[in-house]
Amino acid sequence: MVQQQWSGKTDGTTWMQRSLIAMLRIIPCEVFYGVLLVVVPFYMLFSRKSYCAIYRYFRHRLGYGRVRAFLNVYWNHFLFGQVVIDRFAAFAGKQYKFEIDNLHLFDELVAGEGGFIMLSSHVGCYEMAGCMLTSKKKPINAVAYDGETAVVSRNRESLMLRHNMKLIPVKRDMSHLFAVNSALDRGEIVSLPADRLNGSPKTVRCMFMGEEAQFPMGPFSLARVKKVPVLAMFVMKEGSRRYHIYLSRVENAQQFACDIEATLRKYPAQWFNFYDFWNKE
Amino acid sequence: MEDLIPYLKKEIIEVLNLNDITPDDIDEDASLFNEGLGLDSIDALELIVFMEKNYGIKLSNPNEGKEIFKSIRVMAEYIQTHRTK
Repeated sequence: MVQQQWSGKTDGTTWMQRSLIAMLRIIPCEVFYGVLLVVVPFYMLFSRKSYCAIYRYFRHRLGYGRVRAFLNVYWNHFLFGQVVIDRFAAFAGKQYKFEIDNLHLFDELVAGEGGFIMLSSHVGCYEMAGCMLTSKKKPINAVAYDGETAVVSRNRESLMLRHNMKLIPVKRDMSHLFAVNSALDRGEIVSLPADRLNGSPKTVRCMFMGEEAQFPMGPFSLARVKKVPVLAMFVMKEGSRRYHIYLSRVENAQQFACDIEATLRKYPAQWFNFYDFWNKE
Repeated sequence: MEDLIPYLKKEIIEVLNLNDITPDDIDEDASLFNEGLGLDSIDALELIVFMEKNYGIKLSNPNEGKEIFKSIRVMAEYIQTHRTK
């Protein structure tokens, strides 16, 4: 189960990532997008597993023909490269435009008493919302798998500090649970991914894009145990400097799956789970 | 203390919905996680909330928490000395 999943790391060595951030301070993102156009075909060629997973997604889940599916895999990888660059550009201080649907859902929960949960997923670029949807009143605690390199983590952290956010790394010793529990007790926001199993034995089967898929039970059990409301957030790329944020209230895993599906119907190429999500095992 | 152990076993079965386990199946010295009862992270969270609600014990230090959930007996001993209700 575990080995077929995404390693959770951004590709590239430490010095590459550091120089990318340095270059993004002076060179416009669009130049890097141009480089991607050339790099993506090689990536598709050499990263067969992710190629196949995304190809099957377009073929079987969206019913595209062979040529259309192939072209969309290219487009999907290209967009993924773009959001990775945007993420580094945000570390470098670049500004983006955001349009937000249902912002009142976030504002109401922030204004009210008590903490709440925000669910992330690997569609669009959730992390870009860190530049935008933040609150002075309630810090956001982002639960993250501890796979990223030191540069990504450190830059994430400095960006996060600026926006009243904290990282809670998931550890084997379950120490993150104490941090999550205390954060919710303090009335803060806990944000966590809800489309990765990460070896968790407890899953919920949900109808998703016309076929059953497994979702982790953890985030929804957490909401039940702590009796806190849950918001799903999708941050979708609409232009080179433009993102659209969608917010919705979620009661259970199936509803979350439906919300991801609705988002993917609008932005089919921004599905960034590069493994067989509809694995039958 | 000796009364607390069977009570804890019953409560844990109920809180964690361990329907196919009876209090007698649980060894009070066996580990709750991993090979023992085999609880997972959400169960751990349920136990954290359980300790708080029932005994007023707030567990915020992960190292301490790990020690406390070692076994039912260790839990009972901790509750005995730290409970505020």
